[in-house]
Amino acid sequence: MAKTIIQTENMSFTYPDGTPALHDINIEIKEGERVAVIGSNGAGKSTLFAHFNGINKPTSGLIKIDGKPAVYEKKELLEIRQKVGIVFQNPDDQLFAPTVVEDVAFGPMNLGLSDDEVDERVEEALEMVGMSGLEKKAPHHLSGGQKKRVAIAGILAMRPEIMVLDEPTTGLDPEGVRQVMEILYILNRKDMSIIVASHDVEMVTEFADKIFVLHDGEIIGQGTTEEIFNDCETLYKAHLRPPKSAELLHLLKNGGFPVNIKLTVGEAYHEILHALGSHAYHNLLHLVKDDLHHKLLHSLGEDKYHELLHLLEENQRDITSS
Amino acid sequence: MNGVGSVRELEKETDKESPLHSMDGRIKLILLVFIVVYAVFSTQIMVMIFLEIYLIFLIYISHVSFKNSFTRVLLLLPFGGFIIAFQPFIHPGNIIWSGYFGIHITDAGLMWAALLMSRLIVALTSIVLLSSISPMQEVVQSFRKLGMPREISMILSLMIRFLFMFFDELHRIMHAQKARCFDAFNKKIPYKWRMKQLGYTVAMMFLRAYEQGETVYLSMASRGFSDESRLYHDRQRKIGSREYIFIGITLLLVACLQILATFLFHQWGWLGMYIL
Repeated sequence: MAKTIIQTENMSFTYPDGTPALHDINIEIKEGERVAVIGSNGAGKSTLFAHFNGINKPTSGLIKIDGKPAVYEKKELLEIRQKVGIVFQNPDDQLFAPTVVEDVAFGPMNLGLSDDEVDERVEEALEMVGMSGLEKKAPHHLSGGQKKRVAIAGILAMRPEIMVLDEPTTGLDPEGVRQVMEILYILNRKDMSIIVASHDVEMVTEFADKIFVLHDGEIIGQGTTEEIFNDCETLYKAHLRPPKSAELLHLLKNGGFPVNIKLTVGEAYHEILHALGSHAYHNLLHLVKDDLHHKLLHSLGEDKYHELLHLLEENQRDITSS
Repeated sequence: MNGVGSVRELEKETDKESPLHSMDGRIKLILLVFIVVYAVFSTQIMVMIFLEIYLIFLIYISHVSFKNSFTRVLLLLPFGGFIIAFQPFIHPGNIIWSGYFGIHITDAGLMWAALLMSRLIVALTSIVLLSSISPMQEVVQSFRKLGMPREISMILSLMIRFLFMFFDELHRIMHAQKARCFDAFNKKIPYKWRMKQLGYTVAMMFLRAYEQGETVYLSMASRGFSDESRLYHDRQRKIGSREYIFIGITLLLVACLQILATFLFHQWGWLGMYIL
C-alpha cells in the first residue's frame, strides 16, 4: 500500500491581520497520486499550498510531511522544501534571476551541493522540460509557456518527491497547456506525487485521480473525479461548474433520459449513443457540428463506430489503471 | 528615446555578436574601468584624444551603433557638463576676458574645463561601450566573480531581472491610461488633475514593486533560500587567446601613451600641455 506523504489534521490558518484563511483542513495525499485541489478564486488554495513546504505555519492543527509533523526550524525546513517543490501560479514571481541557468541553479545551490552536481542537475532539469539550449536567455525574453517550464525546471533541479503546482495551466495557450501537462504525466510516471490547484475543471477531469473541493477555506468535498463531478450541488456551492460533457449529461438526465454522468467528451458521446439510439445521436453530431465523430460514423457505419467507442473506452480504462 | 525604448535598444546592442561581445565579462569590465582610471589620472588632452580614438575603434569592431552610442554619451554629458561649465570662471589664472559684475574667464580655467570635458567624454564612452557589449547580468556576474559581496550582487541581479518587468508594467499602465484618452500634456485638462494621475501611476508602481518583492521572497524561501545560500555563476566561460590579445593591446596602448605623454606630447602645444 502506498505511503501517506502529506497529511493534515484539523489544520487551520489565520493571517497575521486576523483574516481567517483555512479552517479545519483534513486531507491525506499518498505517494504517486495525482491530486487536484479545486475551488474558486480566494477559496484558499494558494494558502493551503504554502503550508505544504513550510512557508505558512498552521495557526492550529498539524501538518505531517512524509509521516513526520512539520518542524519550522532552519534545517528541517530545508529538508521539507527539498521534498516538496512549489511552482507558483505566476512564473514571474518565481523567475527572479537574470538568466534561465541561474534561476534553475538557485534551488540546488541553496541545498549546498557541489558546483558539478548543480551543473548536472540544471542540465537534467532543463532537458526534462525541453528547455535545453536556452540557458543564457533572460526570463523576460521567454513566452508564457516557456517561463512556466523554466519555473518547473527550477523545482525539478531540487529533485523533490512531491510537486505542487498552483494553477499550472492559467494563462497558457493550448500548446502550452499540452506541454506542461505532458511534463506532469512524465513526472508522475516516475512516481512523483503531483498536486495541482485549479479551477479549470476540464484539465482536472483529465489529470487528477483524487480531488479536494475547497470553499471559503474549508474542504467541502473530496473523492475520485467521478464522485466529485457527479455531485453538482457541492460544485455549485464552491462556485464551480462540472465539465461541459458532464453538464450536458446532467441536463439529459434531468430531462428523463437514462444516462450516466461521464466526464470526458469521448465517454459522453458513447453514453448519449446508448441512451438516444444511433439516429438521435447522429442528429446530435449534426447539432454540435462535431466533424471527427461524424466522419467516423459515416465511414465506419453505425455498428463498427459503436464498437470503436467501446474499444476506446476500454483502452482509456487500461491507461488510467496502469 | 523613452525609458522602455532605451532599455530595449540597449538589450539589442548587447545581443549582437562580435569578438568583444563574446569576451569574458571580467576582462571587459577591468580594462574599460582601467581606461577610465588612466584618463582620470592623465593631465594632457592629447592622451584623451588617443584614448577616445581607441574606444571608437572598439565600438567599430563590436558592431555597436555609433549613433546610439554617441546619443547616449550626449545625453549623459550634461550631468558632468554642468560642473565643467563653471570652471573657466572660477579657476585662477591669466584673465583673457572680463565681463560685468566682476565675471572673468581665465586661460587656466579654460584649459582645465577642456581637460575635464575630455576626461568625461572618455569615461562616458567607456561606460557606454561596456554596457553595449555586456548584458547587464554579465556585468553583475563579472563583479561577483571579482569578489563583490553576495548580498549586493543578489540585489543587483534582482534589479536587472525586475527592471524589465517593471518597464513592461509601466508600459501596460500607460497603455490603459491612453486607452481612456489620458494625455499628461493635454492642456484642456486641469494641470492639478493630470499631476494627480501621474502621482497615482507612481504610487501604483511602488505598490506593485512592494507586492512583487513579497512574493519573490516567498518563492525564494520555498526553494530553500537562507542567509547561508551561495550564488551560482557560470564556470564554463574561460579566459582565452582573444582575452589575452585585448589585454595586451590595451596595456600596450596605455604604456605607449604614457611614454609619449612624458617625452613627446608636451612639445605639441596646448593639446599636449600638462594641465594641473
